[in-house]
Amino acid sequence: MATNAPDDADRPVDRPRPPGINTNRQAERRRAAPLSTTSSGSLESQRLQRVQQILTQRPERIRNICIVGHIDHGKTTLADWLLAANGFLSHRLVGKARYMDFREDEQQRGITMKSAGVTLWHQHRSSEGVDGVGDCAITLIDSPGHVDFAVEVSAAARLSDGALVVVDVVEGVCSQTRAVLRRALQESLRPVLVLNKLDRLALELHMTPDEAYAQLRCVLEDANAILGAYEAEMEIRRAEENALDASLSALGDALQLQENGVGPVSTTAEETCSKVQFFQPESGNVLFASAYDGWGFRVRDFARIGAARLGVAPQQLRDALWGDYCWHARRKHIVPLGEAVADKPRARPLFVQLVLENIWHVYRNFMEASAAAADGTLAVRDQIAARVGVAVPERDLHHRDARHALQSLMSRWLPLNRAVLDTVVEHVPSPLQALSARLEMLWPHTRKASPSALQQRAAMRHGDTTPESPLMMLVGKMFHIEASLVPPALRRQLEARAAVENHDADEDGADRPPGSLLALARVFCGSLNSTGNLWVYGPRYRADVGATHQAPYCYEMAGAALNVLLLNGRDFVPLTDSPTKSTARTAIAAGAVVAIAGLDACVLKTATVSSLAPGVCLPFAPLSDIGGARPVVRVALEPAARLSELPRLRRGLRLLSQADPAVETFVSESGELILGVSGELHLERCLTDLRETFARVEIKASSPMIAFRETVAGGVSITPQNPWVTSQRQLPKMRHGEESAAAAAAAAATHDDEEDANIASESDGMTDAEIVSREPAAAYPDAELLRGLRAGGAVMVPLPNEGIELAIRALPLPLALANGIEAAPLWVLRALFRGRGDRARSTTEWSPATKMLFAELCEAVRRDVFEVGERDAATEDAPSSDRDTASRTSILGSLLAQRTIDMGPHGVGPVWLLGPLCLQEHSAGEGDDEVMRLRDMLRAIFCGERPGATADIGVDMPPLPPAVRRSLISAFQLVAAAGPLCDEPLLGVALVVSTRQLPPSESTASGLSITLLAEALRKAFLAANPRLAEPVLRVEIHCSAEALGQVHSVLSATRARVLHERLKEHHITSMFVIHAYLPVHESFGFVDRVRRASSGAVADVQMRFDGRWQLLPQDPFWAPTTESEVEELGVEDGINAANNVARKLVEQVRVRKGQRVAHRLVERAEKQRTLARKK
Amino acid sequence: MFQPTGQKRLTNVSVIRYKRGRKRFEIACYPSTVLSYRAGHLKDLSEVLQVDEVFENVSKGKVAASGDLRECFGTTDRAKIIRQILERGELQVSERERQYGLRNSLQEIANIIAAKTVSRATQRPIPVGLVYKALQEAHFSVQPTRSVKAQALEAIRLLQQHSELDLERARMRLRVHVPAQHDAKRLQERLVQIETDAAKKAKRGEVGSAAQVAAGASVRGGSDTSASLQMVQVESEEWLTGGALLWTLQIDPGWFRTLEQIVAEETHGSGTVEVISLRVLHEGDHLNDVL
Repeated sequence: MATNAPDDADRPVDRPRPPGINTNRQAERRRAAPLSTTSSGSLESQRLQRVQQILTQRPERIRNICIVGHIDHGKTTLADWLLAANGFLSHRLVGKARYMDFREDEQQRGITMKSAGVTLWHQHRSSEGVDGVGDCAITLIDSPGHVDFAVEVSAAARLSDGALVVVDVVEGVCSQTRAVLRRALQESLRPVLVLNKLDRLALELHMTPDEAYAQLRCVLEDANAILGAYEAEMEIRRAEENALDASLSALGDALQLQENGVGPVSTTAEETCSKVQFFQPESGNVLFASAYDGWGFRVRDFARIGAARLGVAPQQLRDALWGDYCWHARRKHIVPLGEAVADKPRARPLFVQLVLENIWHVYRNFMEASAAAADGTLAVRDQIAARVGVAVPERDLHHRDARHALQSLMSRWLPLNRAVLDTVVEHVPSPLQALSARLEMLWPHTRKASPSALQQRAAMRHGDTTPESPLMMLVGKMFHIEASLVPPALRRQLEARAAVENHDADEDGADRPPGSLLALARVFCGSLNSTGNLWVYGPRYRADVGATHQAPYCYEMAGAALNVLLLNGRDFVPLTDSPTKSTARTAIAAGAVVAIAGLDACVLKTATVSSLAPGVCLPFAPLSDIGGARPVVRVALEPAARLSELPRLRRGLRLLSQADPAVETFVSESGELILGVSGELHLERCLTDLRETFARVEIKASSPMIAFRETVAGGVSITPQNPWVTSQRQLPKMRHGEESAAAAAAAAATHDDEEDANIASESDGMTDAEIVSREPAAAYPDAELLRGLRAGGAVMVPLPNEGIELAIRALPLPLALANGIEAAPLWVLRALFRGRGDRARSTTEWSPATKMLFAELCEAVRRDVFEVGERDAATEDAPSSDRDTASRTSILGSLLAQRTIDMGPHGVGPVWLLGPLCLQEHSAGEGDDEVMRLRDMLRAIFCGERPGATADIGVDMPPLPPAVRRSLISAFQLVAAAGPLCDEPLLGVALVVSTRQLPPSESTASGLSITLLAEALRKAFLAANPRLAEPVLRVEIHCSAEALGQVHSVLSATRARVLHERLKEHHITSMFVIHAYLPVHESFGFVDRVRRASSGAVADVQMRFDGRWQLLPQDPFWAPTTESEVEELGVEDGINAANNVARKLVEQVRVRKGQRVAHRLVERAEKQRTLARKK
Repeated sequence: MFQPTGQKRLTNVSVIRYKRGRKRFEIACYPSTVLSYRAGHLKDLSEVLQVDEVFENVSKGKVAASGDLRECFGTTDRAKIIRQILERGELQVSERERQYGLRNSLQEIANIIAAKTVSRATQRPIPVGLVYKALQEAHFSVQPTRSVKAQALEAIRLLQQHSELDLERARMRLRVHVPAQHDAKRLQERLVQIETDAAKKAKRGEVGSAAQVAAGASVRGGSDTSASLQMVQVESEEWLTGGALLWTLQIDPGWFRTLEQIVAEETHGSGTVEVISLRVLHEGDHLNDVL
């Protein structure tokens, strides 16, 4: 058996210490800290020196990797071993210290939340078949496994060239394994599979080596299935794109257009990495390991050991060790398993025989025999150690704790760090090699042919660090470090700079959070020149858009302001050891991943740092383009204690959003400070960060306010609780002259919300009661007509001064139209509708772009109204061509312009005030069917009539006098901004005003009041079956087939409307995508619920608001009244709104606004106790 | 015997008194229910009334005589009389009712303020929660008898002076259309004149206005002076063919009436003032830069 001498050179001296079985983890960590800085001082400095040398001069010796995998599969423990090999911590603490989890809460919870980087030094020696590379600097980024922190993984993958995919062999390939592996493939990383926790197979599951072998094969197949699926997807996509390309190249002009755009990012990346390399133990990209016990090996390592024993060539054994081969003892030959079976019934695969049996033997003897007589065990231990040929100190080997003895043996026999780091050096390409595959994905300008693009491309491809080449640097993420970790010299420098910067700012130094923000960046080419200037380009910078060449999009700064730091575990060391040389150029080898201080003022999350000026520099692709989850949990923050803490909270939020790639912060429409995060766990961490580090104030987090909209369903209300219905009932009574007090009371009950009229606030003395009583007072010549109009929900406003009477009705606009308008950008709507200020302007003057947008809007409306809805079956087969669309556009546009008096709220929007203008004049001359159909459609929209109906409301009526018109507009704007249900804006309502001549009467002249008109508009609204509309989010859920049922049950419990559910495109495994509309009101905690219900099988939830509103079918005034309803649902009572969602929501809003709600202070009046007051 | 054990105390009773025709009538109700009844949220009379009887004096248990009832109400139907007394009688508002009312009013005031103001620095709305907190910190006390809106307008000025919340009245956007050119010129001159006058007045009366606020000055007077420095902001000025002026302005809402009047006077009724929006807000989508 060949020996594998322990590498004593790069291992610190272990101090004898009793094994820490129950030791406090924190204490251990603290004790570990000085070890890294003091006790191994000379080694440390030597290592640092070499790493610095490599990072500045030897790009071919750099490797950048990240550790990814499912949560609790052992990523951080693996990292611990690698760090221990570099002397960052004692071997004794490996697996307990979790060195890469810097944060306190990471330590407490035992999970990683932030990715953290460290640069290791590794001596790669040559062995059979492989030439030694020499010493290498390996930058290792440990990433979190929890799904909430997926963005951290993306940021880590961005900066790496290879990925160590860690899989727990007991749990197998899990949801997050799948996600991160795909992520790594998308980023064109070279994956290395680490099958971890082999010890659990032996110790926990008590598997035999044969069973363990079967399990390992299963896991390996699963992992390869992901790769295969990904490759197949790429194949399909490539085929499609080739077809598309062929068709595109036929259209020469079209291609020209694409050339100017950003270019197809994903396609180019996928084309270059044509073949995915599968995980094959014999090719060396699979590691078998137990990170806890500190051992790991590749097939090759055992082949070396076994070859000596069996007497075959190591090369031969390496190819046959994994797979269906066995050792034919008689023939002294390796034969396929099938042949051997015929020969000998109990043939076992070589891997079991040579590898697993040996390891199991060690485990059996150390762990299971430990209970037996001590002396015998110790002898066995000695014997085993002698057989594997490893010198283990006796105090370790004979240790009382069998596990400790085992670890000390195994980690010397099959050292994990050596196996892992060797694999990394051999399998992960050096940065420059890797760039040939990754550059097109990272930098989507490879197809551009401009001289500057070519120059940049060449410099990056060759890793040019000469003074002539431009500097290109990619900032992958910002991270926060404690003040104590910043090198003292640097800290002084930073503080001085901060003091200068904040000299005029209002903040005092004590207010600044301690520590500093560093950027994790990768250098592509060029060198940091401290004399020249640099530009920092944010993700929204575009080289071809001149408007983005200034402050919010890019910043200019002096090169001297940047400090390059080496990632050295928990502390950061300046990369160049002579920071005093002010004019020095800092040449960093291309591909080095370093920390950079001094960028915190201008980098938010990711950025491109370049020495090229704006317009010339082509930036790297922003992370969001490539993928990365959007925040799905939103909360509103405010200071819990005092208002004066608000500025600190704002600043803290900005810092947080800088330090965390997954956080989104903004000010909402209602002015709230909104924090968007990717899950409940993430939220908790962000709040802790804000409280303790960034803002340092107590924070109150609540669910953000939800905006509702009020709309109408059409028809006439009959619900008794509706105030309009109540007032209608009261009308005849008042004619009979019942006492006015009752009417006043009723009126007070009717309109319980005060006018919000800024305009009319002072002048208007009229009370609601007067309005109500005035209405019937006007003498009607035609009582029949009046009753008819009333029955149709029209509200009559007699204006004797002007000699006319208004009849106001509220009609629903198609929700599709309302949604379309709500979703359209404001400026488009302005361009479309505000132009009607002067009537002369017609649709012909619209710019082509505006016309296109309007055409789209019209098309959407037409589709939704006529094809999806069942209003008119006849138009279903209407062919749509460009000509049709254009003519439709112009007609609808001009009709709108003629008929609409105003739109609301705030000038443009989904609420229209339609006046009595002539419809007929337009249709003359255009007599074809299309025009007629459009007219019918408009009538359906505007008049609520069925197409073809003869009655034309709003045609041939006396026009509105200008004074009335103005007041009407003001009143309309008031009502549109705050409806009668709960003062929320209206949506999708057309308020149609018709006029008729009033016979001259001698009734007293009364002034025209905005309040009066607003009240009438509100009543008309109430009469037309008011409804509440709530915003809905478009939710996209990716889940595996087995979780579908649970996901659907959550969806139906949250009143979501499922649009469709289908197998994922280009996806070979059974992943489903569900699209649904989810009420915003139900979206808080939704992600958590879905994940919990599906036990984590939901891979990805994405929510976004696309300006869509959904009508709540319930009448907010409805309450159980009939006997059976009362019996079933509870008493008729204002409070008992539990069975009416709309009502519940309305009341919530009203309570929030302090408006009157049906609220009983006392639940059971007769049960009140007089609280004891001693008399 | 008037001893603790001999007394029969009225517990869980609130008395409503009603005077009619020199006679006093009372009814016995449960505490904290009458206002809910009056608001229409409580409809079951048995939840409101302790005893279905009209009293002359509840604490003495003295029931009103039928003769008195007929004399004063014209009927002896107890149910009708009780309804009338419930609606119109006087009562002592219980502590819980008062608390609830005050909290509601404060909430409403905060809402009104949030709807009428914007942050001075960002020109964005201020969340209601912050306004509520600011009101509490400024020790604003609600007066139950005055209208909520008037109190809100006062509170805005209070907050402007005593709060960290840097708010200002949201301005409204108007479009003024004047058809004749000479009218338009005159109108512009007059507005400039008023502006300069107001600026002078404000400079002199700065101390005075603060005193006014403290004394609870009238709504109009206060807002005129406080917003006088920039009453009218011209957004765009467009001269149409034929000399007509199309003018887009931002003004303080308290000044709307005056402006409308001036326009009507100067143009002899031919000019129009159109409200475009009641609240001018800074628009923008992504707001990280605001933070």
